[in-house]
Amino acid sequence: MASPEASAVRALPRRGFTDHVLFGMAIFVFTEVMVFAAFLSAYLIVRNSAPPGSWPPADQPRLPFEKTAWNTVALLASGALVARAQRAFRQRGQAAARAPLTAGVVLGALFVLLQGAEWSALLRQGLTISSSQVGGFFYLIIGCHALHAVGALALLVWCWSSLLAGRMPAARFGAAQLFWYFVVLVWPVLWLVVYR
Amino acid sequence: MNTRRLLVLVPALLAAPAVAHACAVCGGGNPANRFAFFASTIALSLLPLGLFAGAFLWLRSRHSDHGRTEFDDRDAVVPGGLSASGSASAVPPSSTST
Repeated sequence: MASPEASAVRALPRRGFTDHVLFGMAIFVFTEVMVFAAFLSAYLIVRNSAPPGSWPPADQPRLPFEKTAWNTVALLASGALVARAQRAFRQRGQAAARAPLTAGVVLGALFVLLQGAEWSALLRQGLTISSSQVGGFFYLIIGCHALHAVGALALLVWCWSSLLAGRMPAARFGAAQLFWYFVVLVWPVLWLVVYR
Repeated sequence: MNTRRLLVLVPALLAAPAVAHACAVCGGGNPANRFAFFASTIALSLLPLGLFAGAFLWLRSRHSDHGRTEFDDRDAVVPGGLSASGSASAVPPSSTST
């Protein structure tokens, strides 16, 4: 018969070398990186096959590259604040992560709202998904990013509410963060390639 | 198509690849388009390899961290570890270090 110590050791939870939640999110982000790479590849090939001076077509509005810089700044600042929240969470506990995470979520929501306002202005100016290839690619690529931004923001809000209740699992925060970093880091690439 | 026509057509196409536009992009004749096609082929080929390499390095570092702390929980319960028969060691390692 095994000793009481052996029974106690056997009762310890098994620890894997990585969190399943985090690993699952990493696989998801991996596939999404490839999705956006394929979108950009198709966009660049179609754009470069257009005759010189015809992209975007003369009757279509220009994408607001300079104005969207503010959205980009808000999103990048949000990413930095979420990273700061993670550092505070690891070093000083849940209470210390509240303020930076709140600010990060607010800036992320601001990005989504600014994007919504921009879309509304572009639709009024006549850029729709079927008005031209520019519109089609714009709403496909930027719309896909917007969906990811809303999803990642919902995850962050879930983490934020758990944090307020003082019971946020580190693995959940890690997974939400990974998704948010993907949304933040892919955006400047889309902005520079699609808007310019 | 009969064999005689094939015998003429196939060598003609092989001898003149520029007119055999098997791919609309390659035959487009637009250098910018061809460069975009080439660059995105390279990017789409290298990107997954880079991601796999990153995932491998991340898992390897997690695995080595795990190896360092693998028995911490057990040692908190039984400082000297367990013998093969499942009983606690007589002498905890901390007592031998003096």
